[in-house]
Amino acid sequence: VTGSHEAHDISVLFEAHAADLYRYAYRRCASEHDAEEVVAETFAVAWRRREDLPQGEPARLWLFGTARMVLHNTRRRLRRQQRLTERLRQRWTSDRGLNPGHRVVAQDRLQRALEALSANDREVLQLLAWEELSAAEIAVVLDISVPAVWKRLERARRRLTAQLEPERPEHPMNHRAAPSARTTAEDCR
Amino acid sequence: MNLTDVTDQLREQDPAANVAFDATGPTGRRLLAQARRRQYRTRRPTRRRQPARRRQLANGRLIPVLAGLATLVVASLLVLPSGSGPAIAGWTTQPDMLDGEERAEFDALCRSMVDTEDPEARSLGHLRMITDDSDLVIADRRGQITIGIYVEPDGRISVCDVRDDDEELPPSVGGFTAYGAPDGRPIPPEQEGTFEVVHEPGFRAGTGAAGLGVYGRLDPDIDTLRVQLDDGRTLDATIEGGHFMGWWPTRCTGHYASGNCSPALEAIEAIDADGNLVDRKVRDTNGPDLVPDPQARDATPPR
Repeated sequence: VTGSHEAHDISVLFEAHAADLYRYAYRRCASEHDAEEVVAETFAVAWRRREDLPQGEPARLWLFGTARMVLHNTRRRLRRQQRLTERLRQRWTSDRGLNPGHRVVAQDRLQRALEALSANDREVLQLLAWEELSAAEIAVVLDISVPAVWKRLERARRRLTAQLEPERPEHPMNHRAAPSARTTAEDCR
Repeated sequence: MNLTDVTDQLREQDPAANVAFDATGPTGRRLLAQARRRQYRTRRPTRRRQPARRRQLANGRLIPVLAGLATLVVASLLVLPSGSGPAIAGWTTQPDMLDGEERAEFDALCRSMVDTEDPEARSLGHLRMITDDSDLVIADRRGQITIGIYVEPDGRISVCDVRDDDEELPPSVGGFTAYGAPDGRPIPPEQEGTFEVVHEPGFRAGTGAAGLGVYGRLDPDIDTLRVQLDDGRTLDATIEGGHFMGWWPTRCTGHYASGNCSPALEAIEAIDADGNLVDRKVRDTNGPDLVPDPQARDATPPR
């Protein structure tokens, strides 16, 4: 779908999609402030480029793609990986009212496993599970082909599953760096 | 574990599962207003000195001025305390010239605030009177703050301020309000060799902190207008197309419209291209207006 002949009413778009974009950003930032910032910046871009915005459902995907780029810029600028990791961990284990126990351990493991994935693999899984986008929609957001989406999904699943396998006894050869020790600092992901 | 299992596990642990966001609520309206303002953001303006103009003053005749103490509320101006008096970050005695692009940006930002849904702006109780008929006649930038004057065909004046937040964030609109010219009359046509104060806006910026300004019309041949404050400091007004504008940081006891602000406007001097004082108006001790300074009249060189 090409740009619209009639410019979008950004207010209408905002009403329809801002909540989804806010949650999209919140899932990756674990910060209300940062999520709000992403939403505001995303719609500022939409306003600037309203003549080029596609009509209908593709507009929603366009917004997701823009929010993703805004997040990318935020990552580069902020670089607060340690604080984010701690926030996320706290949120995952306490903010949601979870009690200590096996479930928390399982969630923590899943989170750690997710963090151990590459950014591309993690993003494709999150778009599928959290934003509930189809492979075709993910392809639009990430600007890649549908087969590439499936390929990444399969790879992400395989790696995540491997990460979630029962931990083997500690051995120097099995040592894996903790996610927080990654050298590439990110704030929102 | 298959893909469905993985995604199911992730869904169960969605960090935003219980996150609510009402796009039509206060937060949503605030973000929408932010986005609307940011659409005009491009780059941080660069500072340029206003080039000196070299024109001959055609006529030294002066007319009395009416300095209506109209008021203006502009919120969120960044005011920093200092030992010697109030300071607004980056404020300078010399104005910075806006180029065409920066001026267009400023204009677009101000106009974007009309009919805004920004709840913060509304909560300030500002009147917003910039209309399609309003013309941005002058913009005065000093440091982080730019003040623009809009004039409608009937003479009503609107004032808009734009503030640079920091090195990262481009200008933002703090809000604007508008009051008519004194008595609601149109701005008089410019008269040869004269200047006239039309509006003296005030800028609230927190408890006791404020800015004061002066706007008026002048003969286009006047080269320099120097604003003198009662603390001895001076600033050069921006001159543009027969209009002039200048503002300065101040502190007030009570409301700035009460007149209990320091520093405050004491006098305005008109200077010709040769650096000669050709006119001086001082604050009337019996009222709010500026009146011709007899001593300055005597000092005005014959023309």
